[in-house]
Amino acid sequence: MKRVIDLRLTRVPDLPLEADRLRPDSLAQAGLDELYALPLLYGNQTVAAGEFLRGEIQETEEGASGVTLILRGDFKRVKRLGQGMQSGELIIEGPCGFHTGAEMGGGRITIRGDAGDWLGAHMTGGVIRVEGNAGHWVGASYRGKTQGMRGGAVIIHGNAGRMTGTKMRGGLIVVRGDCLEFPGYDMNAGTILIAGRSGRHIGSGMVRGTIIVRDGHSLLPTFYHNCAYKPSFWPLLRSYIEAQGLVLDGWGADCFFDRYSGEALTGCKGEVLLCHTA
Amino acid sequence: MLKIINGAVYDPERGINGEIGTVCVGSDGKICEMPPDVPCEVVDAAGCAVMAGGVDIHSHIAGTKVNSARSMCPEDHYDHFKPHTATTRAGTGFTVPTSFYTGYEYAGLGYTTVFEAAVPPLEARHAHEELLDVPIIDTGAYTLMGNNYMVMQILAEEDPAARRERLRDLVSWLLDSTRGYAVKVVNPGGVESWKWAQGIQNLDTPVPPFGVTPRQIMTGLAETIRDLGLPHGMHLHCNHLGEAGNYITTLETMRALDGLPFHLTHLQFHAYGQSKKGSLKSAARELADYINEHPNVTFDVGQMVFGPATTMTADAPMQYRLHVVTGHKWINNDVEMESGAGVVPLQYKPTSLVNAIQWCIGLELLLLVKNAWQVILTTDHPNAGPFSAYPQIIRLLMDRDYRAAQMEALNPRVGKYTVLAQLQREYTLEEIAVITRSAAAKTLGLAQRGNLRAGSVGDIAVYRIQEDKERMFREPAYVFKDGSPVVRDGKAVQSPQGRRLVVRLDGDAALPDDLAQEFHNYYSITLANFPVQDEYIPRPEVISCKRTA
Repeated sequence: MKRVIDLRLTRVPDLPLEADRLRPDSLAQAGLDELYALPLLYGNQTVAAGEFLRGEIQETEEGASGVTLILRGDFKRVKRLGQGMQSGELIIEGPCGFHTGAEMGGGRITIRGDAGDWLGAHMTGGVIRVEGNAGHWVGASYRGKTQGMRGGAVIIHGNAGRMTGTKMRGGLIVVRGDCLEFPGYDMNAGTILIAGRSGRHIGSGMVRGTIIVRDGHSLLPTFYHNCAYKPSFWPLLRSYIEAQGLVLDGWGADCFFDRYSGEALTGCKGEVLLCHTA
Repeated sequence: MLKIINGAVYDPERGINGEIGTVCVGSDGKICEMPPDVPCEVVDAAGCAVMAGGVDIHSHIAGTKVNSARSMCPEDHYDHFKPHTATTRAGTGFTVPTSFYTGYEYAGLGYTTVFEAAVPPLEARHAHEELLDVPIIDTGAYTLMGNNYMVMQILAEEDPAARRERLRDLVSWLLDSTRGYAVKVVNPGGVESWKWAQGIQNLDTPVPPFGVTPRQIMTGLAETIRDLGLPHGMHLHCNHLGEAGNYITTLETMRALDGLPFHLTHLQFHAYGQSKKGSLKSAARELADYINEHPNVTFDVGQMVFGPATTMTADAPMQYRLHVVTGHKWINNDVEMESGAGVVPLQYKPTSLVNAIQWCIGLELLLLVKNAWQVILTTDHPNAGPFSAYPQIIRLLMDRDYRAAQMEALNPRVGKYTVLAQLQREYTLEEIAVITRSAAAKTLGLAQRGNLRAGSVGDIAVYRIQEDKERMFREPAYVFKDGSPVVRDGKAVQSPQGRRLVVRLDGDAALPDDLAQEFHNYYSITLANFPVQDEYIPRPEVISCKRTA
C-alpha cells in the first residue's frame, strides 16, 4: 500500500522547532489526529505538531508500497527533520533547518530548497538530495565524536558551506556548485566530489578517503603529486551520480585526473584527484 | 532521630558480620548506642544489608583538569543526561559528570565520603569552589607536592636537621593554605624532570634544577607526614605509571618507604611486568606477595572498566606518551612551580590485548592480596573507568561464574600473560564492606566513618540482599546522610550540602621568609592571594593531627 502524507506549515515558528518525530518510517500507521498530537520541542516547551502543521493522508493500493511524507512551506526554523529515518521518502518543498537527515540509516530525502547546517551528520545510509544550497558541516561528525557520515549519499545541486564531510568515515558527498573552506577535514574514508570552486585547505588532516575537485590551486603543501591517470572507478561513480538526477557539466566519462596523496602529516594515505579536462 | 531495624548489619570494624540488628542515629546526626526513648522514624530493613556510607579514597571529581576534561569531551555528554527533579538539578556526562550529577550518582551508590585526589596548590581555590557544588557527599582534597619547586629546594639543603624542620613548615603551610586533607605525590620528580626535557630513569636519578632524587622526595615527604602526624599517609602515585616492567619501580618504592606512612594509589597501573617481546604482562603476584608480607602497606586498586574513560592526572609526561600512543586528543598543562597535568580521553576494549591484561591485573590484585583491610576499591575515576561501575566490579569479585563469563569476551591471548583464570576466590559481603568503606576510612584516619560505632557520623547505606550483586549495589534501598534520608531506591531525594574534610596542624603555618621571597620572585600571583579563604569551606570537618616531632 502506498501512503502519502502531505502536510503544510501553517505558520513559521518564532523559535526553532525540533521535529525529529517527523519521519516517514515512524508515521506508517499514524492517522492525522495522531500525527497532529505528536509532541515537538518548541523552545523550552513541548507543543503538538498540529499547532504548526495541517494536511491530509492519501492511501492507494496502486504502485510500490511505502510511505512518502511531503512537507510544504518554509521549514528553515524546523530542525531535525527525518533525523534517524530508516526507510520511506521525505520530500521538503521549501528550505529546511539544521540536522536534516542526521543519523539517517535509509530511505530518501529530497529538499527543494536550501538545507541548514549538519545535513546528514552521522548518516549511515540512504540518499539526501538538495536542490538548493546546503549549510556547513554536511555529513560531518558532531563535536567530539570521531566518526561522521559512514554511508549513504548526499547530492547537493547548489553550493555547500564550510567543513563539508568533517571526520567522514564512508559514503559520498557531491557538491555541484562551490564549497567553502575545509572540505574533507580530518576525513577517515569515503568520497567527496566538488564540481565547482573549492575553498582552501582541501583534505586538511585527512587520514584516508578520496576528494575529487576541479580547482586545486589551494591544495595544501602536504599533498604530493603522484601521477595523471584515468581511474577505473570514475565512469561508475559518474553514472551513479547521474542516476541520482545530477548531471555534472564538463565531467566526461573519460576525464583524466592528477592524483595527489596526503595529508603527509597524518600518514599520506588519502588522495585528492584534480580533474584535468573539466 | 532514626532507627533502622531488622537489617543484616555489616560492620567489619566491630566484627559484626551480617547479624540482624538495629542501628540508631540521634538528633545530632551521629550513630548512638541505645534506641532513644523518643518517637523516631523507623525504617524496616528486613532482607537488607546495612552498612556504613561508602568512602572513596581516590577519585577525580573537581578542579581544573576535571573541568578541562568536561569542556574537551562533548561526546561524553550527548547520550548521558538527567533532567532536573523537584530536589535535584539537571546534569550530563558519563565519565566526567557535572558537579551536581557527581554528587547524586555517588550518593545513589551508597557512597557518602569522596576525596578529590590531586589538587595543585595554585588551583586549590577552584577545586574547593567546585566541591561546593557537589551535593550530598562529604569531600576532601589532596594537595600535590611531589614536583613542587620549593619542596625540592628544601630537600637539596645540606643540613639534615634544618632540612627536616623547614620541610615540616612548608608542608604545613601548603596543606593549611590549600585546605588540603593529605599530601599527594604524583610521579615524584618525574614531571619536573620532563619539564627539563629529561626522563626519569630510576629512584636515584637526580632531578633538575636542584639535583634531588625521587627517593629523597618520597622519603622526605613521608618522614614529614609522620612527624606532623597527618591522619593519612603519603598518597603516592609511583613513577613509571603504565610502563611495561614498572613493578620493579613499585617494589623498590615500597622498600624505600618501609616503616613510613604511605598509601599506594591505583596500583593496577603500577603492576606491569614485561614479556620477552617488551609488552605488558601481569606482575600482580609479585606485588601481592610483598604486600601480604607487609601488613602496613595499603593500596587502592584503580580497576579498569571496559568502555569509555577519560584519563586525567598530574603525571604530564605519562599523558603525553598516552597521546602519542593512541593519537587521541589531549590537553597538557604546566602548573607553574608546582606540577603538571594532562587529559586524554580513551576507550578500553576487551578485545585489545593490553586493555584485557590491565583488566585482569586489577582483579588479580584484589584477589591475591589476602587481607581485605589492605585493599580499597577504586577505578581511579575517571582514569580506569567511571565510579558508576563499582557495582559491576563488586559482582566480579563476589561471583566466580560471572567473572569467568566476562573473561570469555577478552582477547584470547590474555591467558598467556595473566593468572586471573586460576583464581577461585570469591569476596564475601563483609569483605566488600571492608574494601568499599571500612578500609578506606581507616587508611584515611577517619575514625568516625566507615563503621557503625556509637558516635560515628550517621552515614548509612541499606542494600537489598539479592543474588545479583551488581543490582544489589547499584540501587540501595536507602542512603542516609547524618541520619536523614538522601537516597531512595538509588535516586536522590534530598540534596543537602556536604562537609569538607580538612586537617588541623599544630602550631603556625607560615611560609618562611626566604621561601616567601622565592614565591614573590617566581609565582605569577602574590602570596596574599594564594591561600584559600574560609568562605570556600562553609562546612568544615576538622581532623586534628598529633605532631610527634
